[in-house]
Amino acid sequence: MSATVDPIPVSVLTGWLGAGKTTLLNRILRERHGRRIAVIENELGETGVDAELVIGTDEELIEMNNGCVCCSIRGDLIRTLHGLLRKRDKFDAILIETTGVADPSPVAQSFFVDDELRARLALDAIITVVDAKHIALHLDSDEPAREQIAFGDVILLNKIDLAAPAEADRLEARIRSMNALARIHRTVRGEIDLAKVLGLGAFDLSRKLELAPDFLTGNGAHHDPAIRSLSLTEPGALDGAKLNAWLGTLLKTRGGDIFRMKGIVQVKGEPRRVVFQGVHMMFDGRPDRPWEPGEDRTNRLVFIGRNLPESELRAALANCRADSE
Amino acid sequence: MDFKFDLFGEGPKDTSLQGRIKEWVRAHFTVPPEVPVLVTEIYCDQPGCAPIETLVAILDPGGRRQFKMGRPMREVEKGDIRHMLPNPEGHGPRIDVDKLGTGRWE
Repeated sequence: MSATVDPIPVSVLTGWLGAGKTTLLNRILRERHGRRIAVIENELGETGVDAELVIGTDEELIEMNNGCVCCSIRGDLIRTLHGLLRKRDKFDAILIETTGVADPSPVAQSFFVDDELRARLALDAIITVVDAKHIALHLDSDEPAREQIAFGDVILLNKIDLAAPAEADRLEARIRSMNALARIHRTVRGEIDLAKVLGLGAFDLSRKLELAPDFLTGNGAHHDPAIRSLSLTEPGALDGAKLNAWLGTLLKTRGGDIFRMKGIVQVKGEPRRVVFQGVHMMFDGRPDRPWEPGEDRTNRLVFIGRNLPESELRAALANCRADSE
Repeated sequence: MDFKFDLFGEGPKDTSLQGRIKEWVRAHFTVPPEVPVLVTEIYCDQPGCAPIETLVAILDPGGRRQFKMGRPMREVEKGDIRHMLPNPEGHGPRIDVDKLGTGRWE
């Protein structure tokens, strides 16, 4: 038997008030999947969650850098997760339900910043539940509602039965333009195959960088110029030193505006794919597997963020090519 | 050639650094094992800030203590712990209440 212990998967459930988070949560907990799920939620007692292991926390933001919201993490969460790890034998997975008005980035960043949590937990995916009928109102006026969509690995267009088909299509196109990485599913009362929301490994660096076909073909119109996805491709091997310098400067100067980024690139002299991801200023990357013979080595980067300077980013990536001056 | 990310020109990351600094912090402040200690680096390009600072947070349920040192983790020495600067936060909600343990356990 292996002496190593698999990291515990952690899912984050977010979504605006009334979107149906608790309905989905209860559905996940009631399903006979054989996993014991510990639930961490901020609004303990306000809603009935059918879990044997429920922990309430207060939202305790730690701003690591004065005034820098992109360096905020959740102290309560880190403390709670450390506490849970001492009761490791009582559960198989963790699900964190955020408050409806919360910006999900401090939750995601908490997993990047603490070495012990990184070693023992695996952030699986951020699941964003959207009220298909009413979210449009909040997308126009509430920044956290937009950020919840920007951060989602899976986005459920819930209560889809209440939205007219054309309205649902417009909403999906708008969401796609904001987040090209997310898998979008239409649901009623949170009814979904749990394999589509759990065990996704969305934060696994080795996971294939997937983009929705309609985004790549340009059908995802840019309804939300403030928060949007930007997909960059560039042929040719990159210079490692230039790549480091560019990404370092980018994170320091625009980390607050970059919610998520992912990339698979070819670095000159490195026989393996180089993969990376970031959440604001938290960054994780490394070479993973060797390029396969005949494999398309086009550099692919996706940014999800606010006011992304498209031409500047494209030029900077091109400038990282090993054959550029 | 093995490529390594090194966005801020710090050189190779020593993953044992965090653990070592945590031990020094725990010993200096007599932090009980059940209280998490957080050690991380923050990057800043603002005037007056060191480019890379080391942040320490003791997540005590009775009240979080937060410090920083104006140097990267690899330059932190044991003797620096007693000279760490308090790093109170400037913004945002601060709720120092820990409800861990109030949930229902089997």
